[in-house]
Amino acid sequence: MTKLVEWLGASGLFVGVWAYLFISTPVSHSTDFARHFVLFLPFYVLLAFAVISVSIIAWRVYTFNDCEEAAKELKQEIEDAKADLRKKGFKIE
Amino acid sequence: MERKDKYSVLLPTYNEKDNLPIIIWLLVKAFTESGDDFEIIVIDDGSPDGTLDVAKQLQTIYGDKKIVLRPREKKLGLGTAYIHGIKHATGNFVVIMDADLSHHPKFIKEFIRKQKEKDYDLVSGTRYSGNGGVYGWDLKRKIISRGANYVTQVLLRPGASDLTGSFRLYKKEVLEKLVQSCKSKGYVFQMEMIIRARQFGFTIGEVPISFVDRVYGESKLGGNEIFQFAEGLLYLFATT
Repeated sequence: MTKLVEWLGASGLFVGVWAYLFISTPVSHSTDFARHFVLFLPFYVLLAFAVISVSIIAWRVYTFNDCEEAAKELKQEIEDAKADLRKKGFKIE
Repeated sequence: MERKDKYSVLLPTYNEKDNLPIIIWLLVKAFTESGDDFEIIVIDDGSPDGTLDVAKQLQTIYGDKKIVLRPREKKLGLGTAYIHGIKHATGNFVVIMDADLSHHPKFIKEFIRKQKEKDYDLVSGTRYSGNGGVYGWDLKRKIISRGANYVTQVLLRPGASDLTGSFRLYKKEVLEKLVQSCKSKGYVFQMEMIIRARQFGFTIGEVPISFVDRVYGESKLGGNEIFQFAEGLLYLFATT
């Protein structure tokens, strides 16, 4: 099963659940709030997903390691390498 | 008697005449310190800046058992460079990495150690977990990177934290099989390798690495790259 098929399946399941909720909150037997909530359920799900996603990405950007040490180390090693290679007869520019 | 492990490092190069001596020096240093048997296979795609001549000089210094040259006529892409390199690799393990000093050979012994832990089929260097990281990226680049990785994780659930990374250790036969089954190019090629590895049931270990970007600013992450990435992602989403 490809990821696409998985997602289509999950979407189908969601639509099924949503339809069921829709049917079980008819105008005559439910509150305005319940009706409104069910009607806009997909929107709220997407909104929640968007908020969570942006938060996760923001956190990961914030905690993204900056490898200062690695860069410094590399700079030094480049000099060491050039010096050693020159000694071994390499023509470095 | 136990067969000894040998590590073949594939180094595809294009216009790396300045970086090549350094990366080779660092590789030789790293392997000499760790005591592992190795060879470095330089696959130069007809670099106009004379990278191949530099490689030949290094070969006279380090010997042609350690520095193996397998050049090609022109720029033919990474996938075929790996295939070409594997054909001449005498090791039972293959390390793939960038030749522009963004990947540091000091991590190879970490890859080896990790691989031996559970006999992993491949070990992937990750910039996104543990104390992995990047030097030289501004906020915008970090946002794009983390954003793209997040979308990839959600859509593909690959079981690896860094899919576009190209610093990895593979068992030779595993790399062979994967390269033959991957069709994509660029970033997506590396992603596809991990996804197909999962499909084939190969085991994947991870090691945090530091990525030192010294060319950011020269190489652009333009709209074209982003479009290709999105295209590749959808391709993998729909077919795997």
